[in-house]
Amino acid sequence: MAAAARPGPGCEELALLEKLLGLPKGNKYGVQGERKVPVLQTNNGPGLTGLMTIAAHLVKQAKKDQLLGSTAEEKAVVQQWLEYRVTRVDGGSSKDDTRIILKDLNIHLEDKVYLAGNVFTLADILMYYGLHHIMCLVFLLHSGGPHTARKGEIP
Amino acid sequence: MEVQVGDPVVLRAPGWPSTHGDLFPPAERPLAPLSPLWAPALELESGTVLFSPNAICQFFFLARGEEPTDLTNQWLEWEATELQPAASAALYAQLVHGKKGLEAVDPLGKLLAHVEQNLSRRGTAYLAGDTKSVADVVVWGTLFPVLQDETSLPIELQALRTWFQSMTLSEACRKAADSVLVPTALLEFKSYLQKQPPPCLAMERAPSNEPEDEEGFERALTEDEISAAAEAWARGAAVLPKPWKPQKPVLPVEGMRNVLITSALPYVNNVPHLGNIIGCVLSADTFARYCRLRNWNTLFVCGTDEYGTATETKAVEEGLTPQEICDKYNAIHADIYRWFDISFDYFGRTTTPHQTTIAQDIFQRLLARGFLLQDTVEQLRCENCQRFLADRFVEGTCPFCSYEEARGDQCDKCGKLINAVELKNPQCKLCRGVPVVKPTQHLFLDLPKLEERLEPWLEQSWATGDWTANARYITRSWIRDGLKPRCITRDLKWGTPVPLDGFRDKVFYVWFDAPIGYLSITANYTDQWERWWKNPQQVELYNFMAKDNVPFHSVIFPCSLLGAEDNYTLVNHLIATEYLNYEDGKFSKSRGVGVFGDMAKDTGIPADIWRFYLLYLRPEGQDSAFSWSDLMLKNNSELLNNLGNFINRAGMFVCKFFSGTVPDMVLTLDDKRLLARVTVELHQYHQLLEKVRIRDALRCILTISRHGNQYIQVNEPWKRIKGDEKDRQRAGTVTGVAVNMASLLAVLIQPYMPSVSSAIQRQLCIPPDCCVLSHDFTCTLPPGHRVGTVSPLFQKLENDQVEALRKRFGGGQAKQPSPAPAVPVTPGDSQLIQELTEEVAKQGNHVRQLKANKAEKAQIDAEVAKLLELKKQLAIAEGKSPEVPVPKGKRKK
Repeated sequence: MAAAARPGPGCEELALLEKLLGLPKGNKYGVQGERKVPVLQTNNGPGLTGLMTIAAHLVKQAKKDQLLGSTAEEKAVVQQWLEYRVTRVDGGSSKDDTRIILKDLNIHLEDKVYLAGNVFTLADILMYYGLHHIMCLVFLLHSGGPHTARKGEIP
Repeated sequence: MEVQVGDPVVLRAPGWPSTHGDLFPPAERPLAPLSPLWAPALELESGTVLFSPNAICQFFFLARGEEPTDLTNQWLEWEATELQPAASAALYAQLVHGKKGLEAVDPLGKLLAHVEQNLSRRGTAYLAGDTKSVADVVVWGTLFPVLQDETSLPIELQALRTWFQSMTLSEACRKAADSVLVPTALLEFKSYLQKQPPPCLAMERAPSNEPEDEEGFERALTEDEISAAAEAWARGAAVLPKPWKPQKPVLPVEGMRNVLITSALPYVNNVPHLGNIIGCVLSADTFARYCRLRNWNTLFVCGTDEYGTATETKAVEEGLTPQEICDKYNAIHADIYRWFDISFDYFGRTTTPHQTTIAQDIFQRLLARGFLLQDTVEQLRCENCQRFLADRFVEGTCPFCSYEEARGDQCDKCGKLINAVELKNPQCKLCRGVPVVKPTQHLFLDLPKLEERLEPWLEQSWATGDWTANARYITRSWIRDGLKPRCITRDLKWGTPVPLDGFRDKVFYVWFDAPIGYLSITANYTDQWERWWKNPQQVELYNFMAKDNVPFHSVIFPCSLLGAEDNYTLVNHLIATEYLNYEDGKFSKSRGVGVFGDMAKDTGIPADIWRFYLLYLRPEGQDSAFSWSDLMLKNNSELLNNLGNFINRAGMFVCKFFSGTVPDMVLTLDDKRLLARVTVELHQYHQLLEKVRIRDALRCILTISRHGNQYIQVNEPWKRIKGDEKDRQRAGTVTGVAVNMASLLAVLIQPYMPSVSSAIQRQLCIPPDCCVLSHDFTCTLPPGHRVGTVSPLFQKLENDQVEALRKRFGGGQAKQPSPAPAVPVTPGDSQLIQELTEEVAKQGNHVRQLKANKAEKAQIDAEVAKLLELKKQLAIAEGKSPEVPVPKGKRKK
């Protein structure tokens, strides 16, 4: 059942990221497979597949490489949290999964400002997107209304 | 570096530089904040913890100054999201379920092809270029444990093979593999994996029975599709083909598509459970009904498989003759299938004179053509009974575990297969005498010699027919493991006699004999059976079965027929299902777990609901699980709220607003779009059923009715009917289109729910000539058509009801409310002891009587539970330990 592409949530997210990075519009996206993995269409070659991959590509395109981390260590940590985002956050569906994810992240962030320590990175951006719908719900359930949500500031 | 012992991810950090990380045994330095899922972990000098194997690999490469590229990133992301879950599943299948070779790498199929395509398209030696990168290490590390066994790498994937081998031979990878795997090989992982929950593939349907993402995308309709749908609609019922009513007996007709359908012959001494029913007869029935609606000339035969040791021992056990056992169980089977509304053209049995004639004829032809071998086998013989003791006619002490009641073919305690002559202290099961080892002659089908005929035939059948993937795998692996001569005779009485001097006291082995049952059963149906079975030019043969029956239908039986050289019709389409589990366990007769065919009707749930649910979760492509709560959910959501609701509303609107007469319709573009949408689903339904994807086609039906509900909901005919002239006309159009959709649905669901289908046809007075399937959605109930009395089709299942059923069937020994004494029991109370003794005796008699009268199992179980409770109280009253001996589970096969 090869269905024609309708942009999935991944594409919307990438469009928002482009805006955040100050990139001009013009990138074309498609989706692939049942999970609707975003694909960045390029003029030459088969294009790039996957949210992490495309996001990192856009960051480099915008010449904001520092968002991918500066040292080997930071880069690996960013890679790790991006992967966590696409496997665990996007993969989990049950309430239990969500609870574990939030708990893990909470522990990890206890002594840190950002996911990679003291620097703001792409990992924070994508994690924010990925958790947004869950957090809305969490705040709605536990604080009586969405307005009490304390939203992180994006520099 | 911390890993859980045995976790396969250790492979992914081959040759890491030790200066950058320390290796900690888990016990010494637990990384407290991390949940176990985050292991392995690499703790860096700065205190930063890396828990993702891919990030760790990336880190090593970065530390060496190799920056990631778009391409390596893409591979890493693909590994994490696609490959990793599938590889875990494959490894789990190999190690925990013991699957081998190609079957085990099944979940990886598409992904391996992806690597292959990338390598060959780019023409590079490695995944991201001509040098090794982090991508190669990560992907290799995941694949290595799964593909270690060379045979599991499909031959077609040349580039992948080359890449994989060159990686495996590289020094770093070899070291990593050696240090982790060799010599204990993969067993290292097994104990780790066994403790983990079975992996669930995210891209597969959710754990069991959920449909694929079907509402997710709706493809846009083209102008052409919309106008074609509108034209087809306008042509009306006149363009439908006339339903084909074949002469009885059904025989092949020149120029028609002649479809011969068999479902695996159920073994006679067992009551089939739901898994057996969906595995063969119900699947075959649904397809047969579909074929008939397509006007294909269709014959559907089945019957009970009655010969063999199991029948003979069962007869001894019950003190009946084998024939009496067969008569009794054949009737039970026939009853169950009748209740499930299985539309056999003929349901026969294998113990008939035709069976003897045909089986002996095939045997003689094989013999004459030199395809049979003779060999001497050492076997136990009871001199007292004057017979060789086949498989289950001998018992003794298990040579492996010393269990004293091991059977001649298998030990019930340790489960190992036993060669009867290896039993210690063997005893004849009939007279308890001591048998002696004697040589005896047996006949073997020479499969190695027949292989050269089998292979070209298989190739051709696979190229032109629809064989399910599991059928192909199983067959391929059978042939790859090498065909050996197969014994086709047994020292039994209950079977087809072997017509050869020196073998006259023997019979054919059931697996030589049973598939011949298809032919003999047809011969009992019509004396012109050869027009079906010796007519491959005109006949298309579909075999339905569960996957455990595949080799007999794809290798052994075709070999017999090919060797017999009599222009036999061989299988064109072999449709094998996976297994159906029961509430996450297995159906078990001996433990009384699960629903068996004869009990389904006692649940009060109609046969069509059972059919629907079983077909909805038909184990097509993967195992699925029956669950009571899911049954309730599907009944209440899909049948009641979706399908039933739509059909009922459509009919009710005609009755209530238009006094039972279908109103005039003036189609708008929106209506035509709906017609086109329905047509798209209709085509999909046909495409799927033509490929025997029964479960998936059912989703199309439900989607159509979902469209119908939406259509009614958006257009609100109940409001418009109260409006002005234009509104009333709109209400008429919407009602008319909806009731015609209901009419289409009545035909589409006929293969799945025949009684519901006829109920709708009756309620809407659908002309009998419209009960036929075409590729068009046409107006079968034109303006002016009168409908009958419309009433609800489905009933809600209530939680209490389903919970009670789950208790009754789950685990078998449903806890009955015990007649608990109100007075506390004090040991030594003589009056109480006497009372209880009398009660126990009374209840004991009651149970014996029920058993003698062959009461229903559930009732007996309930009374036995009461008896046990009474005995327990008596024991307490007598001051004994209240432990009641657990009744020994009987094992039936």
